[in-house]
Amino acid sequence: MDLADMTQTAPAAQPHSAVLSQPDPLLVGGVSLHSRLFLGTARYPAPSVLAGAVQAAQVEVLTVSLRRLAPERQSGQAWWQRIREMGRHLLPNTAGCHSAEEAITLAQMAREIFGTHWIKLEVIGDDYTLQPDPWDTVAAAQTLVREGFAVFAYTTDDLVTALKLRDAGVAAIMPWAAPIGTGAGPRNLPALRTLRERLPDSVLVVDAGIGAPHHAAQVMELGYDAVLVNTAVAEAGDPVAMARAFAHGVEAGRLAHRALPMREREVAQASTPMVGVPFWHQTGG
Amino acid sequence: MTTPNLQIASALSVQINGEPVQTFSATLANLLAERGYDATQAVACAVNRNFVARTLWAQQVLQPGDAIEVVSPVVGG
Repeated sequence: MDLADMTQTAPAAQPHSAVLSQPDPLLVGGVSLHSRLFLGTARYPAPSVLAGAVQAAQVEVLTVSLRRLAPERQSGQAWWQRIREMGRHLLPNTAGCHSAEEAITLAQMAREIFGTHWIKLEVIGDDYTLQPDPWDTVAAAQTLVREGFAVFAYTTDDLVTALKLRDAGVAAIMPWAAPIGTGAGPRNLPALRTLRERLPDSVLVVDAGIGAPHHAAQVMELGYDAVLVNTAVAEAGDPVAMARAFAHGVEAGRLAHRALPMREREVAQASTPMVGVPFWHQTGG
Repeated sequence: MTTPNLQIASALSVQINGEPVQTFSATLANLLAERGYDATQAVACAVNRNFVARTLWAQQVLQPGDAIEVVSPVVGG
């Protein structure tokens, strides 16, 4: 096709795209998901805002947690009723646990209460950075997998820890982009890229530290399978709109990954055709 | 198997969610009722860091010094 042809009126039919014409479900924990944005349920100004965010972003997976209950606070379970009515997949976490033993027990309690074998395993090794403890995370993962849990393991971007989690048989490995709640975005993209390359068959979900939709797009472009966001949506000025923005970011990144991005070059290369450049070799008058 | 007595003669010292508690309840189920927990609500328990399934609450005999955790759903990230 030459330049003149391209100026003709384009046909109405959608040009063929193998990527756009193929469904792209995420298979994890025994289910098939359309949405690759997982949403945390904490820190929203009101439950109705969370519900709006879930709706606006078409989220299918929500994280929840367990905390000590005092008898006089049992009326607070209206919130829980509301979450249940949303009908989404629940991913309970073990946030706050500092040992494999604590995390395993909390996972067992979560399985009974939430009626799911999914567990987002978090074992904190340092209270200041909320950096996970790789030893106890791997030990807890091994036990929980044996007990029939689908383990979504929160970890750093350390490759060897991720390999051990894969060998333990977890459902998903969830490396941080940056420490929980910072919104700093991917602090070590080469490490995240290495994880993706070395674990091509594992479900990888970036968890923690995502602050803006372009961070989500960035890791999805690397080939991550999903992104988990909480604070960046909940603490936005308009969480409902931000949830939608994140859904677009995740989808854009995923599509870009599947569409095979161009390779980066060191030097310039003109994108406009060089043939027929006006004034070429014309001497000034 | 005999069913444990619902009440015991002398008070037991246990902990619920880190708080010291004196109880005359013999079992975990009795203790929860005594403390005002609604067993129909979404609640899960552990004793001495071991999960105790809801179906076993009535058979879980309390021992002096037991550390009991009672948890329920909350928001989370």
